[in-house]
Amino acid sequence: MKTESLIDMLSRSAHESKPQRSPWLPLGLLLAGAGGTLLLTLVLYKLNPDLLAIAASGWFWLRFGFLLSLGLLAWVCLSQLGNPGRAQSTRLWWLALPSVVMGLIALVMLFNAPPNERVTMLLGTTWKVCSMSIAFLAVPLFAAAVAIVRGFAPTRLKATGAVLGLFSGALAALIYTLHCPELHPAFLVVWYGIGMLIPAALGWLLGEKLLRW
Amino acid sequence: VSNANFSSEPELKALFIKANEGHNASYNSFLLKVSGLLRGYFRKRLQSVPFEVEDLVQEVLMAIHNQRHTYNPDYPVTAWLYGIARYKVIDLYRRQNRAEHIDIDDAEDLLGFEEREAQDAQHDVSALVEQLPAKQREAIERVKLEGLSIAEAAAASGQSESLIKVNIHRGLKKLAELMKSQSS
Repeated sequence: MKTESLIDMLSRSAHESKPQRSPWLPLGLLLAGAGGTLLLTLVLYKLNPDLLAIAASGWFWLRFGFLLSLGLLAWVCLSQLGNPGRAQSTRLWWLALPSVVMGLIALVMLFNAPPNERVTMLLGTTWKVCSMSIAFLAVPLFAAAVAIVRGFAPTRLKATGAVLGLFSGALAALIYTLHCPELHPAFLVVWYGIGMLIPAALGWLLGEKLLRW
Repeated sequence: VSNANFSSEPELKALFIKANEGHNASYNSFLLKVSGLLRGYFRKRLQSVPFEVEDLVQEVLMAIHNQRHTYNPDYPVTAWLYGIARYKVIDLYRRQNRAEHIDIDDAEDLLGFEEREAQDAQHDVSALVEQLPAKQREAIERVKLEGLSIAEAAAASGQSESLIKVNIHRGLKKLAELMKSQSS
């Protein structure tokens, strides 16, 4: 077929409404993914019995803000990466901001602490399971995020995959805080950081396979 | 400069916005201009595989059609088009496992000289339409190839109007995938 006939064919449909994409679909997928992660957290990890007590502390809200801001920034980057006209100018370094702030707070605290307490600050009581738990809990959110981004038109597939993974990791970590007793910034930067980087790395590796269009 | 062979951002944008409001003639001239720009852009970048140029032009036109809901009129349409065109070149390289590096260029490069003379594409879209599931094929043939309206096509085929629309939409998506798998 000549290109002109293809153009004739396509241009007959300008009068049809653009493909309907309900704004509720991504929201529904996101809620389904978050619901899956929440269920896994409550069933396999249980709610932290001291949740109400630690929620009264400012450290609890610092952790909350760290993960929420990371999730929101990742979402903003994702929606830009999903648009062919804006993907090239997406500023990905913004995503480092929450971790840099947390890292600085952690350094100041470690520096000011007596040397024998530093190891406890870094390792807490759950460092062996924390990162893998977050990576595991990110699975339902990762699947939901892939389904959402496949409705976009991403042109940088590896980068989009990585940000998608980071997004699911940050939200999974946010839900994991219902269980996790660790509040120290040094712990969070290291073990939460690794936990969120695992789905991000996976997204980087699988981006070209999962997001091609 | 308003020369027949040049397109400018404001001109393309105005046409695309009218097209998205449902103006067929604007959509037609938009796609014609864009196909010329794409042809010029791809000819420069695919010099080792010139026979791929027309296939890629058609593939990008399909992508533009299927992704037009992602265009946000607050941003230049040239950047949006260029993003898709660049992506499809990289995707072609990836499919052919070629390690060729795509030049660092920018959206302005798309607004070069329009290449009006098309060569025949390797793939035959009408043959590809034959491969679609029956309902999608019927909807596309009636509306796209015979030029019936949605209502007429619905009456002629016994599908409801909304089903015709859905089947056209799905059929065009499927067609884009067939094009892609054929040229890999």
